[in-house]
Amino acid sequence: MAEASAWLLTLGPQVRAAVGEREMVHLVQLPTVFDIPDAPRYCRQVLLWQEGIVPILDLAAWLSGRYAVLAPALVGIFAYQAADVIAYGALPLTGVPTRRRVNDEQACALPEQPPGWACIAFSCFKDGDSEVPILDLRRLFSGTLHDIDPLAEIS
Amino acid sequence: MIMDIPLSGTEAVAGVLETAPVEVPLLVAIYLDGRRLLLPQREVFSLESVLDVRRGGVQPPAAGVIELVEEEWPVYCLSGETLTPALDFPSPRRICLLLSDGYYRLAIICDQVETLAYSPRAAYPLPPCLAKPGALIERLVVHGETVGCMTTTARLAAYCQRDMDWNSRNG
Repeated sequence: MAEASAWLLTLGPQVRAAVGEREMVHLVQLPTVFDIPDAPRYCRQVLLWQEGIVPILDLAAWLSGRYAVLAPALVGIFAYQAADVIAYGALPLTGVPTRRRVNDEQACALPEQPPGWACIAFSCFKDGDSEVPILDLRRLFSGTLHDIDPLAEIS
Repeated sequence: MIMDIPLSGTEAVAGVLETAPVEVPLLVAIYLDGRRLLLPQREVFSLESVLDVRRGGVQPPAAGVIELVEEEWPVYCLSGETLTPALDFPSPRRICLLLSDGYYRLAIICDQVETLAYSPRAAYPLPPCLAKPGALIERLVVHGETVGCMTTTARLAAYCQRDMDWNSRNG
């Protein structure tokens, strides 16, 4: 039975997701953020990290069609493979991530609501009574969310 | 504050490689209701007074017209946090900045215009998740510990002419 480590992320009230153990690289408390005019409502700020620019994408806001929180108290910085480079993106968190060991027996279907989960998650596992989608970070930060209504049913 | 998390296997983190920095032109900063935008200096044609702007007989979203060198320049006033084209000029705005890239020309009413005496460290393309089609911002400019938003005359022209309902439909 395959088993792997994951970070369990709390992205908002009732919004939890997971990433692979090696995908989360930093936590930043009270980050200095910079507003970007004319940006998508769920992704309106960046932060400076290791002399580069990292976009902050509020996944809970995207899933619910709301505007991003503008002064996140805590963000996680995540690494993912984009083309032939390692790229970085940040997600606001409402709590400190916790580590989990996950095995095949925990696999389950993605939550049906909101339907947007199906566009941004590889798969899902059961953690206690709740379902935890595993995020596809490359897709999340690729810009494809502009064209997806997270509240619309996926055909 | 940055906290290092004791993770194994993050050796790949040698720097932010998402987008390569590109050459930064000399820049001017314009201030609009507390927002600061950067523009290439080479696209600044002239600075005029708002008193020279003709307000009547113009087609919205332009808020006026200014005449210079026997040509009319549409004048736009971007207002509020969302930089929405407005027809009225807020009272602090006294400067009319004329911009031309050789193809597009327009004027923007500004609170303040500042020539930057420094060369920013680097400029990066907008990250894909921030880059809406026809986005106002073209690059993000890093200087010291701050990030500035750089646009161009062409992007401003497209932004000012954009369907006024676009923002409400697409956020």
